[in-house]
Amino acid sequence: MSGLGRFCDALLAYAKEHCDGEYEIYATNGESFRVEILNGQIKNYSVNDYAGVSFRVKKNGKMGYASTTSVEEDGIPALVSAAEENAALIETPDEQFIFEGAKSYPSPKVYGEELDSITAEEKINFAKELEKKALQADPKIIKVEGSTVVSAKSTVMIKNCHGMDLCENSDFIAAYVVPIASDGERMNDGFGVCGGFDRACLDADKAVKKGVVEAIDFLGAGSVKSANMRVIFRNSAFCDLIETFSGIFSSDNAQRGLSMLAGKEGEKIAADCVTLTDDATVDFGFGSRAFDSEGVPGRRTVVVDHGVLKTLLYNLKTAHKAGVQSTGNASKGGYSAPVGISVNNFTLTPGEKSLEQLCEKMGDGIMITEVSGLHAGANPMTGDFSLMAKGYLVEGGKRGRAVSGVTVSGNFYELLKDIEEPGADTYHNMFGEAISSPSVLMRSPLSVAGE
Amino acid sequence: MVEKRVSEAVLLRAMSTGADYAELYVEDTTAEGVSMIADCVDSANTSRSKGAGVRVFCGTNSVYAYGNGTDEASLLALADKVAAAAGTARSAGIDLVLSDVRFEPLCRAETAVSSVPKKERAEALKQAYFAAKNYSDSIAQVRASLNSSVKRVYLANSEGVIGSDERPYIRLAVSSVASDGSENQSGFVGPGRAAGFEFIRGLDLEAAGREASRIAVTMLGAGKCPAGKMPVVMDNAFGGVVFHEACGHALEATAVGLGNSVFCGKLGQKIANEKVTAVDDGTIPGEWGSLSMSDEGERTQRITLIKDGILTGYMIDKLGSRRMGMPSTGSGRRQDYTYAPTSRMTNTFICAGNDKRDDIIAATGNGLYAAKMGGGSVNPVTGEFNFSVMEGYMIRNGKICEPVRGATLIGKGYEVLMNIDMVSDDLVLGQGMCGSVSGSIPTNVGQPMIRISEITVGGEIE
Repeated sequence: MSGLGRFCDALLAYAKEHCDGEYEIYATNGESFRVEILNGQIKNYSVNDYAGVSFRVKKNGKMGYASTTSVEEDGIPALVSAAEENAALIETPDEQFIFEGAKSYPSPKVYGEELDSITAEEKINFAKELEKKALQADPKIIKVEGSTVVSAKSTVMIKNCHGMDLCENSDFIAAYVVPIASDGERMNDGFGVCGGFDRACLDADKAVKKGVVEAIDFLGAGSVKSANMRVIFRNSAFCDLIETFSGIFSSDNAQRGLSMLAGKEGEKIAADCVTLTDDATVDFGFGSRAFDSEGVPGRRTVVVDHGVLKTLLYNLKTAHKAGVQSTGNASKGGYSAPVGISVNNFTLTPGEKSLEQLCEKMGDGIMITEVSGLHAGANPMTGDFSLMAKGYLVEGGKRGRAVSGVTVSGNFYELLKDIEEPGADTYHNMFGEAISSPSVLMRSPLSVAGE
Repeated sequence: MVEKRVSEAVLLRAMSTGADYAELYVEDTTAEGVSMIADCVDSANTSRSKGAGVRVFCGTNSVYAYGNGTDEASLLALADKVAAAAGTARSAGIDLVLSDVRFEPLCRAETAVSSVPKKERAEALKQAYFAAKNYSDSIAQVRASLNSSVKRVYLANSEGVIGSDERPYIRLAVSSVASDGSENQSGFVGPGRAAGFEFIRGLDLEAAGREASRIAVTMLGAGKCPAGKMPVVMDNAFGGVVFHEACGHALEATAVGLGNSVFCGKLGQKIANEKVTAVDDGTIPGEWGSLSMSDEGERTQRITLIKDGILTGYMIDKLGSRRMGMPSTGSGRRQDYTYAPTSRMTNTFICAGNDKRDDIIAATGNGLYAAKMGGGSVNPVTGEFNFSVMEGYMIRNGKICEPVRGATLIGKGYEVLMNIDMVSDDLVLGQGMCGSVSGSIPTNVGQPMIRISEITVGGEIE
């Protein structure tokens, strides 16, 4: 911690002396912990410290970046000159900004104090408990491929030539279990997860139940005859779809012609029942933060209000280009990446019906519980997707047999317009982007390819 | 990168509580990237990643710690961390003699990228970019990037090995978007090599750019692919992603060593059509997936995975070797010091057969021709995979006909292997990044043109 702080101060002092443009330091460091149990023994154990510093400089209106994981001060001149050389290559006319800072910042809770008191031994024991409970849950569970607890603590700092000096600490704990079921011939795995910011979030029974049900239900699950079918996307599956296509709400993509929502602000782009919000300020949201990657305060933004696109998501560059304010969605895919745009906590507002009631309303169709191959079978630009899916047939409003090995195809832009009703069962995505969504019932049938 | 004396002290300290193997990995990587969009260079980045990791085994259990300090005190602190987690026993009298092992460099940069002015690198990128952009009026957007890195790694382990490796990488990527106003389609090329700037100087940059745009424009006019089971002819090069996903991952010790692969216990058995012979070969000089030294301080090998349909080998790292009771195949790899190594692929491909391309198409009658594949993924437990077809055409009456879009191929690895019934004589490799438990690493996929007699195609229901 102090090593990184000293390095940043020395870098700031060097830049003040040697840079004739504006400059900024984005630094992060932290600790991570991971334990994986197999057969009651520690299979993998990892405990780490990390640090990374990104330096960027704006010269003649152009921004260049350089970064390092080494906090040895003799590397400072090379870091600064690499950023300056990179700035000299930039040709894009879009103006970039080093932010002067805001008067006030929100203070969402993102640090669970209680996590500090959970010892490594407790984490190991919890992972063992997960494995044991999964093995005892059903005779069909023959083994557990992994029973893992991960935790992390991290600090983000931004300091710049305008005197901005921001710092935020966050932490997190999560556990997951992968039970494997067998019927003597075939095997199938399930995935159960729990996590959050306190002890109470470590709910072994809940995680085990989900993983075990998944492993057993889809053991030997058959396909279906290819057909156009009505579809319910269960909450976590719809979270994954939203995550895959969340980039269509990025103003950067829109300004580059890579989102079909370009120029649609103020227009109807989704069904009346669709309201999407992005909120960096909720306590203990997985995507909450006091400031974004440019130091702009986190805020709440209604993106789609009853089907109408109110705004896209902006950072300083794209907001300036569009003549609007940043929505606080500047983000970096890692400390060394240039500033881009992503969602904070992005939520589809729930409706009133339970998943069972949505099934009753649908009558006949398929409830899709999992989609995979998102990076291969989904085109974030065109909205087209064709994804391997698992789920259950729904017959006469009741959940029927499990189905796997089918492909569901459609288009996300069309999907937004065609949602008949969101359910009440909001799921919070724990890994990847912080997306929250209930299950949704689609109006028109989708193409489901099987046999 | 590290004094022998320090490495010895770190390994001994790491093993001081009962571990029976220790390993120190130190890395110093400098990566540079420049990218273009909207006719302008819009981003240029330089990053240095320097750090170390210490790993110990106690039987088949593994403890790993990493940090960004590489001085003696930091390395000893890592050793203390793993020792504390490894156990409470006291190991007395460990003999440790380290000696340098020379790994003949397979991948060299004749022209170090750092010796080429950044302006010249940007000019090369522009050639590819503008060739893509000017290919057709319907090209709405092109993204292009030129990324390079030099990874210097050092490894010392308690088997007495000290080794080091310098790995140069360079890759051009061009992604084109064609639009007719209401609909967009994309195309991609990404040639790369474990080499220096001479690779870019020897590459037809404009042809690469045009190819990305040709795919996008072709797909723009395409109708949707029909869904259902049908024969599929998959072309060479990146078509090998099928084998990578459907079979390669399930032959890694990561899956096999824990009994989580459909190919467990199948050595010597027929798992594929007799037309199929496949290898993982990390020893091909200059190839994208090649390594002089594995990330566990071993020589890479040419591993015959399948010989005439019979399973003959797995890809095994040191921990997998302990779990499986089989020798390591030098397959331990990791993205960087923030990951412990595990069994991974290098250059993995189906070997050339005897069929001719034209004969394969003619013999197919009606089906799908997958000219260019997109990415994919696989579940090693069930063997289920899926991947997208970037450029596809219908085959009718033994002839390649109209282009189709939106096709995905899904199935189970072991079924598809049995159904590969024609293999042509034109093997080509294709570059990709493979993501798994030890991070994202450069790997080559590859194959000649092959035919799969039947596979489920996801698309539009007619």
